[in-house]
Amino acid sequence: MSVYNERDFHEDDFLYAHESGKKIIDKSYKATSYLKDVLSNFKRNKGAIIGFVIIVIVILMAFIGPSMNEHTYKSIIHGHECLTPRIPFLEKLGIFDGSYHGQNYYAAKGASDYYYWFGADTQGRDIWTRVWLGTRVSLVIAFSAVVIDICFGMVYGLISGFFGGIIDIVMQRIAEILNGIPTLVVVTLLGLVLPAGMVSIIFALMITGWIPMERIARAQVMKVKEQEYVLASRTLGASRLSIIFQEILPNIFGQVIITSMLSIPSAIFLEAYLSFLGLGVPAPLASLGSLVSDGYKSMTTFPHILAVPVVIMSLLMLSFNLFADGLRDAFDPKQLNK
Amino acid sequence: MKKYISKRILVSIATLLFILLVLFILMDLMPGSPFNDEKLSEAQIAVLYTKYGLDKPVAVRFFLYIKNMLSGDLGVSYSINKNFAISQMVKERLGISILVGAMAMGFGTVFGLILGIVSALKHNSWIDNFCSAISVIGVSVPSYVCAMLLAYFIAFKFKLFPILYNKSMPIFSLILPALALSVSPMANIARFTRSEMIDVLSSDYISLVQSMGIKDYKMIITHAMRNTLIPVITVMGPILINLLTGSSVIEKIFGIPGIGSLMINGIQQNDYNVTIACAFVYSVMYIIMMLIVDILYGVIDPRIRISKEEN
Amino acid sequence: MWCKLNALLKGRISEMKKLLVCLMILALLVGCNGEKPVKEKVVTIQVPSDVISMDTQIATDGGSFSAQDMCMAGLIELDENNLPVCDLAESYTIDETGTVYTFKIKENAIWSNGTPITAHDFVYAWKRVVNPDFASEYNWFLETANIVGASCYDPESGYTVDDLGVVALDDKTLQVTLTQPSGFFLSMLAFPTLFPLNEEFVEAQGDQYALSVDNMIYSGPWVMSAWEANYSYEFTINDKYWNYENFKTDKTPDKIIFRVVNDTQTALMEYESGLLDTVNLSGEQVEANKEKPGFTRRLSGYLFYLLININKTVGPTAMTNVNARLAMSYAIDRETIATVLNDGSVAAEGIIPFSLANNPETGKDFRDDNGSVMEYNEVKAKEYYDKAVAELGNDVTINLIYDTDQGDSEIKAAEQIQFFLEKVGFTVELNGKPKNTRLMMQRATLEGGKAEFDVSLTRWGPDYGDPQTYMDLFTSWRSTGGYASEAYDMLVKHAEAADTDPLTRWEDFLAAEKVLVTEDAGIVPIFQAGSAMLISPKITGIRFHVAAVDSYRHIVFVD
Repeated sequence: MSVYNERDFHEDDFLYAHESGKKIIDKSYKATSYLKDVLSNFKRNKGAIIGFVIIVIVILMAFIGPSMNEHTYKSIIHGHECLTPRIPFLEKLGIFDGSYHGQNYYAAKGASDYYYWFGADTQGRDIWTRVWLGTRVSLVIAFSAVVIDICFGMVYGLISGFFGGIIDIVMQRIAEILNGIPTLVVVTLLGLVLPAGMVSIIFALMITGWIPMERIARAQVMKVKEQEYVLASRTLGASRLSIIFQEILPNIFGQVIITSMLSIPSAIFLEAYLSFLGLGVPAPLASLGSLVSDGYKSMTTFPHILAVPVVIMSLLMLSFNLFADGLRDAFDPKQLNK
Repeated sequence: MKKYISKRILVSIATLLFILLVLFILMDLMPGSPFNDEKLSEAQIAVLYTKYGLDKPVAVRFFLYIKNMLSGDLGVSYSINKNFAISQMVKERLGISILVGAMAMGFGTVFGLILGIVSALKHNSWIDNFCSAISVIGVSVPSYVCAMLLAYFIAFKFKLFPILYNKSMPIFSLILPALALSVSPMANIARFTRSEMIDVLSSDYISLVQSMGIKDYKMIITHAMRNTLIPVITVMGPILINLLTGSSVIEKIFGIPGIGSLMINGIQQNDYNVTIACAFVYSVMYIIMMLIVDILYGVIDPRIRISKEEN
Repeated sequence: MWCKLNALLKGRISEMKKLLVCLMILALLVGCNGEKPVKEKVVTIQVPSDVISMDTQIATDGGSFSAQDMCMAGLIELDENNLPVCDLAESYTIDETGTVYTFKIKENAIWSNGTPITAHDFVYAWKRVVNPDFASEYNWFLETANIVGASCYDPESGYTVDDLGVVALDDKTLQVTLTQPSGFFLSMLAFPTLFPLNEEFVEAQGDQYALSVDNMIYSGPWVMSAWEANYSYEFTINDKYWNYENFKTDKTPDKIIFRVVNDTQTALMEYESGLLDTVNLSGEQVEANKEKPGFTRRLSGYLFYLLININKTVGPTAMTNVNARLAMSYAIDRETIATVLNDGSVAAEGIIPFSLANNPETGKDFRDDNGSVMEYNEVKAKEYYDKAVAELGNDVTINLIYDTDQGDSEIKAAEQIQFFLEKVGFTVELNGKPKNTRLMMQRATLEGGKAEFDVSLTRWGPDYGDPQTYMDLFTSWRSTGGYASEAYDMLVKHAEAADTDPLTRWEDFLAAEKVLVTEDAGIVPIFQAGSAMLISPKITGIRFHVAAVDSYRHIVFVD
């Protein structure tokens, strides 16, 4: 029985094409390379462009931001604790003039000559400098972790998927075991045993971060290795290794890039969670995560200490997600010819 | 199908045992002891180790632990609630955590699906961008910040919900923590649903349905949903497990005696038995979840079921 | 099934169904929210963590001890001025040698199950804690109290449990023998480790003793009526308490609840909503709340200092150079650090904290008596630093370890210390570790001779109200840090064993502190931890003791 509504068909619902009287013009397209197609597709996605631009701006600020004023990331000026933001030109408009609950604390604390563009934290350090330094640290940690994830995960997935059989089963079981241990336990133990610092955080992020990568790599490999051109290469006598790197790798690269773009924000996010538990970068260094978890403690008293890193972190995550979405849409063959 | 399931279960058990062994070894590597290091001397700590059987080699302790575990005894706590039976502690706290997790999953799924479907249907319009922005905020603002915002504005200022967990009204006082916890899964489910649904809506069979003149959204969604839900379900499994782990922060903020905070305390206070028990519970849940997802996958998608039967 | 779900989502149910759903939700909310309880006079205290054990001889943390103090009692209690007063003891006499104490126990002192509290209960309890098989983490406590034979917890001491100097002369008379006269012995009796236990009951409970409310009997003014792990524990009045008649007034609460809340911000919100009667404030919250009624600052006994690795067996390091150490000590502006911490902590300009002990003659607090034995002086610091560099031949780099998992104060203090030391010329590497790791590193370095750190930010809390508990740490036989000074050893040895006159003893300690801190800079004191709290003006009676357990027993409503 049909669940669809019955329709009445009229005489002129169907017409012969050549009787419609339209001229059939053949459009010819200029031959473009694959990459050019991807790029033009990407440009059409406004969200992705915005994301990319923001990422570039943030990375730029992360480099030049900390040196833009006279404070360093660890310079403490006593008496300047918890001052609210004060920006030179905007303060004349009445906003960002360093007032807190109506009072101007800059004058009260003898800091009338100082400008803290994003305010000062609970120890009297400049938030502008610290937040851009923190961004730099977070980005470095995230990029490093993701690069290592890609290398290791991809290789692992390639080998596991390509060879199949018992090798595949064993390697998959190992990955499953590693995934089954709560990340928190592994990271805490690492934090206890390794010296505190960026290296151990990168190491900790890496421990289970490579698994999504290898899953994708493996799935792609298994899909691709049954294709005909691979069979063709093998018939022609290509070695296994060259098949892996010449035939299969280029085809999975796109997916891997997209996944890695999405892993960067989750690495930053995980680092924020670790900082909250006390496993983040060592003092007095700052990362976005540690700034957010420090600022959290002052959320109900001095919200600006939290607001600044949270906004920048959200902006960064948003941009990466938009960018990655745009990349994914751009690489998607179904949308390439629309 | 049965053979497949039983094989998976056997492999899962082996995996669990291996995880347990790894945990035991990791615990051994942890510096310090569960006892009051500040005031005790080396000799006194040694005596305590003997009393609790911690001086035996790892292998012996491991087998003893498994033997005890099979009879339901997970050991006693050394430094969290001294000499308490851990199986009792875990049971009480697991219940609460599962409640919060389930509520969070419920909120996350319902709101996430709605957001995702609406975005997909209005693909590339401003509604789409707006919903996407909301869901990205969900994954870019840490859960503890969301939790504190909710607690401050909704509970404290507007007094709509209690601030802390209250045993006399468990479900009502857990709504806010569950909401805070649901922000991240909601965002993930929304984005995933959106991308899957867009894929499905542009596929051939939907075009077929549309070309048959069926404009009724209800019908399209009926057909589209089944294919969309498959990947969403696979993603929900790990999300659920992350909820249970990520709840430690929420538990701390809202004063909920849950298993997340138990594990964190166990790690920070070197309480080996507690840490191993909690970590093991998580691993068990993870593997069960993966098993269920695999089976569900087969049930929902006839293609997979058939291909497995053919094998 | 999915159809129906989607249908619901799309709102295509009839109006009737929508109304029904709304009503159901409303009913649920109201049902969960309703039922106001009967007007009980309840006081709710915020605690940051749960009780670890209610067994008076197993617990080691302040939270557990305070809870035990609520429902158990000992011979002595400390009043608001830290002075010992009789609790279960009716009276006591001390013999001429000052080493034999005889206590008469109150006739009407009974356990909550009706059995009388006897001297035998004390003997049983004290022998239990020093028994090496029991392996209590507080078994050293009786030895510190100078009770004869109390080192029997150590199998190599030559003593056995039967040698313990405590005897029940009859059911209500207890005799204790000390190895030497002790001015602080009475105060130590206020500590839960020395509370009595009923042998019959405890043995009957086996290993379930004190694991739940049903496995305990009580000797104190309150009874533990409920204990939900990591959520709350509650107390109601014990009508079998010997002083019940005077204790229970119409201002006494019906119930005292301790709620476990770890997050300071939600705890404060809960306090401001009237659901908590006390709340601990973090440093960040102090500014905004210090004008509120009920704001209280209290000092704890924990003194934070820099433990310096002077272990000469490792070879000469910069830390063996006294000028380098003095430079470190003078370089630190302790007042400013306390201001930055802003949580009630105060600068420590000596190793003995405030409110620990008083001069036996003048009654003056030790800290006031000795004044500041160290100060902040940047000029002097630079001079000493230059001297040190000249003697050592190179600049000084310091590896500083501190705790990362014990809260903010230590992390902030470490950062501030780095700031001040670097101002003077040092290079400071901060190395944060979890507390257990840090303690392990300290032990490995000091007992095993490895050099894993130069300076450690550590703390010591007093076990009793006397300077000895601190001074003893830095003698060459305790050897904390490798500091060894003959002058210091001599002074402390005299004070601990030889001096019979309490005033001479006191003055020996005063002098010893000057040697340790001013002359040798064997350690560098930083701050005395404190905390800030908001206590509801509706209640009063909480007793904070620096060298003993905080007592919540005497909480009463104000009007």
